[in-house]
Amino acid sequence: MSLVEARNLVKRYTADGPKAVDNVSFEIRDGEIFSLLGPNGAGKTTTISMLSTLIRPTAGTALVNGYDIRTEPMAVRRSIGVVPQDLALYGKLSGRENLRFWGEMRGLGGPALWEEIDEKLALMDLTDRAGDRAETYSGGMKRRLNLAIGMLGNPPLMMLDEPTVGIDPQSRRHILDYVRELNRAGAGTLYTTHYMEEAQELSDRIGIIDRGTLIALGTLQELTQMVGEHEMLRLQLYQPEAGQALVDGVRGLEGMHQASAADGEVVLSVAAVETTLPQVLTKAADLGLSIRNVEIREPNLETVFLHLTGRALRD
Amino acid sequence: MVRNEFRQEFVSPVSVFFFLILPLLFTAAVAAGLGGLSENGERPEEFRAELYVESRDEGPLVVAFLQALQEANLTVQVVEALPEDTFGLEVPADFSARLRRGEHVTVLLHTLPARSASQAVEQYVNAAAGRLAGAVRIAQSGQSRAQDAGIAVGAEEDSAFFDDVLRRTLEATQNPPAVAEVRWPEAVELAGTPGTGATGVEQASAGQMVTWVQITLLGAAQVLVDERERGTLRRLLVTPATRATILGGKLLARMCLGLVQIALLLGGGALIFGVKWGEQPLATALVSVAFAIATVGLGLLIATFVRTRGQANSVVVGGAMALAALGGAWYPLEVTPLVYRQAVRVLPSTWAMRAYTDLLARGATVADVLPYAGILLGFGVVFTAIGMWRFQAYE
Ligand SMILES: Nc1ncnc2c1ncn2[C@@H]1O[C@H](COP(=O)(O)OP(=O)(O)OP(=O)(O)O)[C@@H](O)[C@H]1O
Ligand SMILES: [Mg+2]
Repeated sequence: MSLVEARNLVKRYTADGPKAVDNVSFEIRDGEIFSLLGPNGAGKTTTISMLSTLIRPTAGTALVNGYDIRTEPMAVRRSIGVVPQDLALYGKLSGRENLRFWGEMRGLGGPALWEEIDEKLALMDLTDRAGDRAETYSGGMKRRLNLAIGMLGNPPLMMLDEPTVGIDPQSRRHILDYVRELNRAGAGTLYTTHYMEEAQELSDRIGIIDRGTLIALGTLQELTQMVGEHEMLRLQLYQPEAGQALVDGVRGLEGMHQASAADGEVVLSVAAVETTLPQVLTKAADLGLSIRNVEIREPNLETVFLHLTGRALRD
Repeated sequence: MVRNEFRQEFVSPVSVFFFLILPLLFTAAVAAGLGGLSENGERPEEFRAELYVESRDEGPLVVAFLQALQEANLTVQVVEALPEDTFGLEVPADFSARLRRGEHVTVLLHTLPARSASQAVEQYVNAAAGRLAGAVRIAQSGQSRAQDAGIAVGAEEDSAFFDDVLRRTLEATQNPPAVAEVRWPEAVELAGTPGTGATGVEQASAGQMVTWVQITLLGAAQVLVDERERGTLRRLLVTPATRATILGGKLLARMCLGLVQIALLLGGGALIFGVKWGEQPLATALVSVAFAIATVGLGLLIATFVRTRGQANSVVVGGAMALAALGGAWYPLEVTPLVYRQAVRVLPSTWAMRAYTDLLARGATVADVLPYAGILLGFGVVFTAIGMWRFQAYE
């Protein structure tokens, strides 16, 4: 049985508004880590909100742990642990009290809950500060507590919405390791991110979402094969503002598949680096631009995104 | 759930200040303003209307007339020119002279037909004028008898004799052996019979309590935006707890908070100001619970409309103040016109104030306050039902 079966999910926030999620279908299998990778505003949070029964889909539906999100929301809620993108903690309560409150809201209690709270605190490296008010925690500690709360009761499916946004590398490492550990313990995971490294590192399968539409779906290997023979070139200019000019200049070159400029970087997808790169460098020289750094990359998720959308997936 | 709410609330001395100390300070200030503290809590007599008098005459009979008006339950203010929108009386320059000659005099009463007091004022003025005219008649006839009998001789003695009879007649009619008591039906309806209205300190204690507790109770309007802005609302809504449980817990906590505050303020009122809250504990508790349910329900309803903490704050404080003021928490409703009194029946605060002042001023029993409690509970049920219904669709 699959843990999630999303069928043609559509969400419009207003009756005549744009579709925040447009006809999204995918499946998460038992014990699998599935990532939704997409830039800001792609519709990741909206998808998780529908699957977790926070909001109702405008059209389509999904089965979560075998229960329909439209007709059996309570059964769905008992099957999932949700870690929201924005922190959801009571700052005035201590870490331990937060865990206790949320545990009780999930219907847990008694010695089993106390035991689990201690275990989660230890796992998240929060035991020392368990008695302090959560508002006094560092950003990374709050994130870890946020995650621990979502895991209470060890539900069969975890939904993690960008759990590593805006934190230090150490806390991030911690969280990624823990997600993998959870997975080994048997939980299925829906993980959203806009960091392609995270998706690449964690996922069994990946869905790439852009502007509400799922534009690609598969294992890392399957996705990178979509790009075919293309390789990716990343150029940094001494004149970051001139990126678009270079992109316009190289667009027509032979073997040039996609070109895009973002954040002072130019990202190119090309058929063969050895023939195209010299031409690009010549073009840059013609435009009076000097190049600080050139990187040649094997096909990865970013290449895939560029290949499919013509835009760079910004980190 | 309930325990968690309490944790969020009682965190700083500042909140205790707003919760308890400020209301008690206001009670003292308002009670003093309503004249209750200094006079040992004497009950106000029947309501007195203000009457402004513009007199072009300074003769002795005007002085007697003013005195008679004062005694006819009017608060008389002599002014150079009559202010707008008040009860005013014009006394002509030849008032004393004509009356003394036994001629007909006209005084002009500017009345305010829209005010419920207008009829009474008219009556009082007529009564005072009649009393004075009668006394003048008696003094005149007495004087002519005396002249006939040759008792008084000379203009000066004549006039002294006249004044003496006039004074005695007025004094004698001040407390006539039998009087018809004038009552206004509307006054009876609101606060019992005139003469048993609440004292200043009672009115202040009840009024301030309702005002401040309302801020706490209506504060239920904030629970959803608080959760929303903290980010915890989304998480709450995806737990297996039903929405009714979530909201119910929050409302229960708010209600308890309000009831604790009521208990503290009642205790404070009794200890510090000697207000007799303790006489009907059961009736007081009943009214308080019903009041809490109604107001928390209204708060919940508001909660489903407001989208930011700022909005919620202004609606709560503004709403609590407006409800309190309109419902008679800041001044007795007895001084307002009838239409007004009827209009504010749609507010829960009006009924709470009625119930509380009845408890204080008349020692109302459980049976007496039952209708009030019923109405308040009705408000509570309606507000909560609509609020819950709206919350089901809340995203
Ligand atoms: N409550 C809402 N009302 C109206 N529009 C919304 C609402 N929430 C999201 N949207 C819109 O829906 C689209 C998808 O938003 P969503 O939050 O799902 O994106 P996301 O992939 O989670 O982005 P991010 O990486 O920034 O979190 C966006 O265009 C957003 O503006
Ligand atoms: Mg998001």
